Amino acid sequence: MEGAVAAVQHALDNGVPSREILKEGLSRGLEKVGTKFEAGECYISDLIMVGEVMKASVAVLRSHWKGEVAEILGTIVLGTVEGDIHDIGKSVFATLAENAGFNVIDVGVDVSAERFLEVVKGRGPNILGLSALVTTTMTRMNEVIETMERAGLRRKLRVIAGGAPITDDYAKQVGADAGVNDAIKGLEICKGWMKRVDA
Amino acid sequence: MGGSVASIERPAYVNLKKYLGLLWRGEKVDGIGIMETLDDEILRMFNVDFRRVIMKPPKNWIEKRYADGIRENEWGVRFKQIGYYWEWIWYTPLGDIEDKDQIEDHTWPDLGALGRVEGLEKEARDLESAGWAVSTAPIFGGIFEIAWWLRGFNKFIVDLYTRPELASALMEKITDTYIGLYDQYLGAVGDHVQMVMFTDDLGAQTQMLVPPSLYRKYLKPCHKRLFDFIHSKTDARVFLHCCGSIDPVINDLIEIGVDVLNPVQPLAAGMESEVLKRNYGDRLTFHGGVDIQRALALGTIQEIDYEVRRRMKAFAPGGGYIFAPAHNIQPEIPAEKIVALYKAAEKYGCYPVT
Repeated sequence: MEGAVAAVQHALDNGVPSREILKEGLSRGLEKVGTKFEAGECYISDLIMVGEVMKASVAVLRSHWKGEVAEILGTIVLGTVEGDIHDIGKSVFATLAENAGFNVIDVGVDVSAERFLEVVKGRGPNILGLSALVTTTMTRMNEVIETMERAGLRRKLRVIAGGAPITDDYAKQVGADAGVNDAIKGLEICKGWMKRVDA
Repeated sequence: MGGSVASIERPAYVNLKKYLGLLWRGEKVDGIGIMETLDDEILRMFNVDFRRVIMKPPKNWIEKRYADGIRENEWGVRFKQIGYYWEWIWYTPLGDIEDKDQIEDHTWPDLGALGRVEGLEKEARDLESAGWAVSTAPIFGGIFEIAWWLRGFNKFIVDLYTRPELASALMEKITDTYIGLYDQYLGAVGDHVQMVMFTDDLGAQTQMLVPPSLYRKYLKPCHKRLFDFIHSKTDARVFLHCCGSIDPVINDLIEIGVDVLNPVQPLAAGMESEVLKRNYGDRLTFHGGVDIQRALALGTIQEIDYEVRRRMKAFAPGGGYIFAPAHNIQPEIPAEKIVALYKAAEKYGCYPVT
């Protein structure tokens, strides 16, 4: 951690723009971790540690951003569905997404469809992230998505489903745009969506 | 069937009893909604060979209960029922400590409290005399698990990387506490049990929760110390419940005295039954192994029959297999499937297994 923070500070001291440090330095490092995780060379504990390193490194960049408008990639409303209080994966995703430049609104765990709707109406996110760990609660994702449809909000955002039992097929079945069972893949998908919005 | 990791969730058990036309006989549910005791008529019907002697809470100890249904046990860990399940809630009494000396300030189980093993020696002796295979039950969660329940998962993981002396001190304290408890437990029943059950989850569906190197450096010494102690107190086999993908450390577990490995979760990466038997079958007994994530949850009766046949064929030849579902039978599993599971075990589970 100290090494990463020192490297960021060194780059800033040598005039490297903070956005370049984030995009070409930290984010590239995160991509490498993602590749290693998919190859089974990194573990969930490594991702948690990477999240902390990112947090500490971005904190150094943020102090440099005072007076500048920090680039926000987009806003994600994130929560674990009703009846489920698992959140380790969600919290890894939230940390990584925040430090990659997303504004993350974490609604917490055991979140009802109505509560998701309330937050989405209030905050107008680009992406809604739904998390579930067990097969008995992943069915709640469908409920949340239907609630968004009835409120006329479904087309205004992307929905990503995450959790150990989630597959892309399952996610599409319940009306989500993508499904993942690892945080880094989920982050890449969200970044990809926001790039297409900018294009 | 039985033991908090090969038992059955209460809703499924209630349905099973109704299906079999059996009355409720005052069976107990443990602190997280899993059947702690089971109707002996069901155990006999299903040809279950094991019976357990369960450590009691101390006399005069009262479980703490809070608003919203939250319960706190002797270790200071809190659970709440969410839907079907009793879940650990994000309450971390050691979440703010900065120094390992503060670990002692936590309220740990009182090793001097009386009543934990009252009557257990006779109970174990009677079960053994009746011809059952007798085991202890897990006292609570594992060394790694309790450490992160008390400290918070993310924080404890970061401790392992950046403050390993704090992480180690916490796990050593938990190990000391367990040694004190097992001293009493095995002092009472050690001469009459064949298996001592312990649990500590290290794996997820696709990989371990921590790198094997971290396990070996910080947690393995604690496990070894505890298992060495258990082996010094009894001739019984040490049973370890360890969910998920854990193949990278199975040799380590054997090295430190694990004799029986559960659940050998068949759909976890690297945990193929046939491969495990080939690689470790000469040094390890397998317990569990029958898939509950897909086969029991989503399969037909025929598919369950096939699943049981497959696992028996993989694990049983040459001995060294204790048939059980790979974890507790889940709440929504219909009674017909549970009956089919154990009928298949009877059909395929007689030696010689071919």
